[in-house]
Amino acid sequence: MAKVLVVTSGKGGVGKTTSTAALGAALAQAGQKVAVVDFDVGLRNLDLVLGAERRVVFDLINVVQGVAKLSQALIRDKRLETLWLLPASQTRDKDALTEVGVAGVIKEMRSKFDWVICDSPAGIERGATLAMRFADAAVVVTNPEVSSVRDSDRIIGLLDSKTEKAERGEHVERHILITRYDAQRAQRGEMLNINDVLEILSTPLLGIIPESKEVLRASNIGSPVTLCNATSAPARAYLSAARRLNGDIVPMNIPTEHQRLFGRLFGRRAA
Amino acid sequence: MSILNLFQGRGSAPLARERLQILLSHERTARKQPDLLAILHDEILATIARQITVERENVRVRIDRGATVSTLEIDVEIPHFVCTIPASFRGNSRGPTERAGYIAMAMTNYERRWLGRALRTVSHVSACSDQAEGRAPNKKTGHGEQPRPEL
Repeated sequence: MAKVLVVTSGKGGVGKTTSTAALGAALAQAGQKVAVVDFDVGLRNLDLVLGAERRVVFDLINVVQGVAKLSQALIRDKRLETLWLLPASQTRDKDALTEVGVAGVIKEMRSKFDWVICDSPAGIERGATLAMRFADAAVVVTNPEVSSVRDSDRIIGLLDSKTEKAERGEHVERHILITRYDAQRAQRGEMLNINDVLEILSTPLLGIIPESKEVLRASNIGSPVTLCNATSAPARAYLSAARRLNGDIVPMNIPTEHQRLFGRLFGRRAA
Repeated sequence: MSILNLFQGRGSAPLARERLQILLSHERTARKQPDLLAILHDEILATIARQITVERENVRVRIDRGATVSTLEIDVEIPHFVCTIPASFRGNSRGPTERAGYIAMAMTNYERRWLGRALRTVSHVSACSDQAEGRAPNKKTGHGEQPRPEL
């Protein structure tokens, strides 16, 4: 029976899709059977980040409307045997997503996978509320920046009120994933630090993904960062976060890239 | 920390943190009572509806949050001056202006302004009690024929 995880944030551009791909791949790399589902109808991108954009035939809305079977719409990753993608529709109206339809798809997926990871669109509209609706757990992706933290707080409020689990009086397990973190800038007081963010949001931390060039490089080539360069700092951070999702106790640290000689001589001390 | 930092002073992160803490404490309180306005609206409407028939959209409730004082503004637009008048105010012993004055006490400023203009244009303002009990739809009272003055 799968655990349904929603990757959400409220604010756009903080790294939901990147994180969905990286966490999905990291869990699949650990041998788990994972499906990543794109809920961003009309603006799908998970297929592109995973390098499966040319293999999309059917999509989530086709399955919701019964035009295609789930097995026809799922795309198996070419690198990881246990990673599957259910893409969003690029052309349909997002109102085509119905709660009953999504409930049916999620129910079917629960029996087939270990993890169902829903990539939420930005905002708090239909797509975002349906992505979180049936979640057992949530990863709230947050940048150490005021607007992102505020939106994360709003989303945490919605997780407590609008999810099916919350309506049953149960608790949706939730985690903060801090992305684009620059330890040096935080140390200099130029950026909110980890404790600031956690204290404000009073939610446990899943991982800290450092700001890195590797993230853009991975999306350029259409590969999750954990696959593209598994030893890079963001990849190690995502791999640790995935292990924590699995219940492992992994010490929290901020992976750093190896500094070049010039940087070591003239740069600032790493955290 | 580099030498440059000595000249830059404190970073901006503490300010960001402080602003967020203040903002979110406000937003969280507001979130706990998301339907406060809707509840007030329903209850005010129900209370008024016991005496006067009003349309839902003619009852407006809004809250303004200020730095030190917050205000609750309730604006009720009633179709015509229809309310219960005590027996002493009935009959010919009192003039229409006096009766209208009593009615005006129960009205919002908005209605009073409206009434003032109505008195200037309509020579006789009649108030009714019996038909008004409970329902008083304006058409039945006969006041419906009076055109409402432009405000």
